[in-house]
Amino acid sequence: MTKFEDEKRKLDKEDHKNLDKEMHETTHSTKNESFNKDRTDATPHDIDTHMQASPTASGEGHGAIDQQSLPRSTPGWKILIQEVIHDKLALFSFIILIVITSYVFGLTLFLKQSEIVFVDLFAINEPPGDRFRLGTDYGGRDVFGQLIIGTRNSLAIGFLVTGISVGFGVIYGVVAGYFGGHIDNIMMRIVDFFMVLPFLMVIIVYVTISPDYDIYSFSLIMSAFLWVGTARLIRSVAIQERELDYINASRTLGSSHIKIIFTQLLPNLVGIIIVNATLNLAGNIGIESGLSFIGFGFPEDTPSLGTLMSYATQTQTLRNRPWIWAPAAILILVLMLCVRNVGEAMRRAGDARQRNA
Amino acid sequence: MLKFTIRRLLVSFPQLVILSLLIFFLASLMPGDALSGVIDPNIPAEAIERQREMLGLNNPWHIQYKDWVVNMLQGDFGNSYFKKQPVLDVIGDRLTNTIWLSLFSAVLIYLIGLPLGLISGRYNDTFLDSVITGYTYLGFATPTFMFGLLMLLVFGYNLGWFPTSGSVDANVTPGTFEYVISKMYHLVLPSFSIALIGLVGTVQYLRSGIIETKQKDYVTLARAKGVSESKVYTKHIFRNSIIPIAAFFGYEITGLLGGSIFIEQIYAYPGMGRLFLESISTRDFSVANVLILMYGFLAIVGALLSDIILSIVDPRIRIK
Amino acid sequence: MSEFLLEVKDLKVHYPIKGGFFNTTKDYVRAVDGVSIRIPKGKTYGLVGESGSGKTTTGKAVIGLNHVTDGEILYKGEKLNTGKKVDVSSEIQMIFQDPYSSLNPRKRVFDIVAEPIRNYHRKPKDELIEEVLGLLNKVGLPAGSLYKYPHEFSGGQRQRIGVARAIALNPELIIADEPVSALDVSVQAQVLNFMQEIQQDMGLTMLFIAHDLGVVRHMCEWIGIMYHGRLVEEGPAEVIFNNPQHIYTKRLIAAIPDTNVDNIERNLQRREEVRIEYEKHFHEYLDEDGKPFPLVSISENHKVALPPKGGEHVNA
Repeated sequence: MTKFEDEKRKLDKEDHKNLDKEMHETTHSTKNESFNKDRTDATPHDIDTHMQASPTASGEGHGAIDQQSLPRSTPGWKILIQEVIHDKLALFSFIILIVITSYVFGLTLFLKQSEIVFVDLFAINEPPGDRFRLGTDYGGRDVFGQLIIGTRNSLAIGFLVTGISVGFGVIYGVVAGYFGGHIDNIMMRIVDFFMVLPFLMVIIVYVTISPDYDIYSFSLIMSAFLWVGTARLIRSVAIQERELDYINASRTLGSSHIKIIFTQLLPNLVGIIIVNATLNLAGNIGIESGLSFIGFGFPEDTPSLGTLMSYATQTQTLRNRPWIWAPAAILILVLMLCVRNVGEAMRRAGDARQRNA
Repeated sequence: MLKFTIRRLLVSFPQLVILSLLIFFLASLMPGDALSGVIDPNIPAEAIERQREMLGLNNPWHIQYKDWVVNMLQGDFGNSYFKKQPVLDVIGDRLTNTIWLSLFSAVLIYLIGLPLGLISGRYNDTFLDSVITGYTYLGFATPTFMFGLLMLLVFGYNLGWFPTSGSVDANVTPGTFEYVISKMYHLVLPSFSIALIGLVGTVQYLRSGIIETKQKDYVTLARAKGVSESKVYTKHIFRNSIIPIAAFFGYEITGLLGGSIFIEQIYAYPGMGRLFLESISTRDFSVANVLILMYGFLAIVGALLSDIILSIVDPRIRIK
Repeated sequence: MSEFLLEVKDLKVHYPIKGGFFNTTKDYVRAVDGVSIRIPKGKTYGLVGESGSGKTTTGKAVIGLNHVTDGEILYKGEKLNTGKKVDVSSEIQMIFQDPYSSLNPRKRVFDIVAEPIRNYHRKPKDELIEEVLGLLNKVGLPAGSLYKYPHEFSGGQRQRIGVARAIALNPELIIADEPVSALDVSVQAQVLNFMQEIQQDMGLTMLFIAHDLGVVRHMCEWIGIMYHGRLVEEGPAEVIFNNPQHIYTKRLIAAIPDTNVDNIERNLQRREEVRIEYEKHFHEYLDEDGKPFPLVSISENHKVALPPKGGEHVNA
């Protein structure tokens, strides 16, 4: 529940919406497409090719063709990237993301985590100055260093959780959607169950009772609850897609189910998966920082952006020492905005591409 | 309709059973049991063992589970290890506080979110729409806890307009008019913090719903028949676009009833979420368990509610 | 081995209708309800009927895309629907109705046409390219199509890609499910012509499914007409066209457009006559469930679903 259920629901809602839109557009595009195609280039080409075929259709001739010189069309994912580059805001966001990511990952190679979280009682709550660029917290720890490491940790866990949960959710959803029937029924009952679990609380309990949790087990436990949204989305798209004849065609051509799922069905879902993953990434960074904020994320010696924010729960820090929490707040905001911008731009691009495809 | 509801109820039942099983096992993983708070180190081990036997703590798990469920059905949720009083008493008015907070937030969400969504959908691609869309962009990117902190800092501390903690002034007597006013006054900041971020989903969903409905043939037909523009919107477009929003009502309420842990924590608002965090940090797992169970139960009810609402507003669902 | 490449015996495909409180099976949709077809090797059999008559379901059942409730499907005398997986996909292929959805939009032409070959033979890439180019040439597509995506082609061209894919494994039987009904009329004839050429070139046997008798007349030696999941009339094409016995067949034939302007009056009159007869007597051709009666042979290879008795007055 609460904020994160909220977050999750927000994502779900959006997904639903995207889906509706997507479906809407697909039907539309097919109509338009057939109309336009047949209108514009069907007649001349068809006559052409047929003429070509009938007189000397002996099957030779092609031996002489230089295979390298054959025209190649731009694959879909390249177009997707081109579209994002054309979207100025998204491009700007993307560059910022790259800069921040490479900056923090690069700098942390030189910063020692143990040094940064070293408690220096002679430099407590110092405002920004020469010695500490962004001041120090209540333990005399350098805020700037914590900020860099915190950003790295937040990003790392965001990527990790998104990777695991989206990866699992996609496979789960595509299997349920492709096979349908009883398999789908059972798999979706399991998803329904996960949907009603108060997952934040379960994570908090886990963090409390598990003696040694690290970034990996923490990501795993988060992913254990966050895959369901992706699974539901992918399943509903897979159900639509499965009804199309190219899947039937593959079956009559002797391809196995596994092969069909991974080489025929999944490539058609790539756009939706990327968008879903991007939006989830933003959500997951938010969830993690929230958990750290209330003290159930990372331990204090592995600060994340949420850890810095959590110092603001002390009234004095909140009111009088903004240098401790404000940079972290701004960074979280910037990260989430940028990631979402890129995601939204890709979604729009995907929609548009379907329209003109 | 009734058939659908009953069938949907039947689906919820196994969900409840699995939820309770899960929490039962989660509880058994947690340190401590009903005796941990009671036991005096001076009591000999045999006495403790006898006590354990008496309380059924040595029984096989399925018997313990059965006892646990039966007790709960009779209203006995066990005792708090920490406060040494029945869990239900500990939860007490925390529940009502959370319900108040959620109701307030829900009202605000629909009161502000629906008009914003309707406006930005109807006048899409105008200046007003870009402002609203920009707001939803920001809202999606802002974690609730951060926004709550900001509200607390600005309106609670710097401007001093609203109280910064608690759910009611200490010196007003319950039952009086002042008491109610004080409660409301304390609700303002927390509920606005939840609502102003929580409504962006509703706004965006409604906006795209309206833009999509606008292009439907039946809307064109209504226009072609000479129905006035405002009537086209109120009678044809809004009505259809609000359906999915209505369907999400149950989930929305569930989410809010969870009583945003973060907001309750920030405003030191004595609700269930804060109680959960308190009981976790005092390792009072008997209370924490019951709270998880309650939230799970509320989520199941919320999903049920949503499905039933959806089946009322959209007859196609019922066939499934 | 029998003289027929494909024999379908009393095929039934039923779908359960779920309902009620416990979601139990209340009834069945009898999509195909006792259809028997025999196709001699190298011939084309046209299966005609209105939408919902079960013709596509029949075709998909033969190739294994639909489950079979009852009946037998024999290919070269061997039963296909044994429940066990009998892999005949290298010998039986299908051409789909919709040239848009039947080609994976994310695959290049090369990958689409090469898919069946890859499933059955291991070949180095350039040999594969050679082979695909050969197939493209055969269906009349330029070599430059190789690395293009389906959306860059027109409907007719896409259907050619579909055909190239279907013949890639040198199949013996092709099930063509309304291959031209999604195409512009101007393109239909071309695609039909070229399919006929390929059929003759490769000696293919074909089950040609269509809703348009005119198209079938163009293609097929044998014709079966379906209504509500059953055949109402079956026989060689010329017999069906020249001597239709079932009222439903008569009406279908009367509906075929004629381009000869001089015949307008005559056609209109005939159509009207058939319509009146149809409206008056059609119900007599159906049993109490609204289904056609079982087929009876009225000559050596002409079968009609006539009512058990009292059919004479309608034939008069």
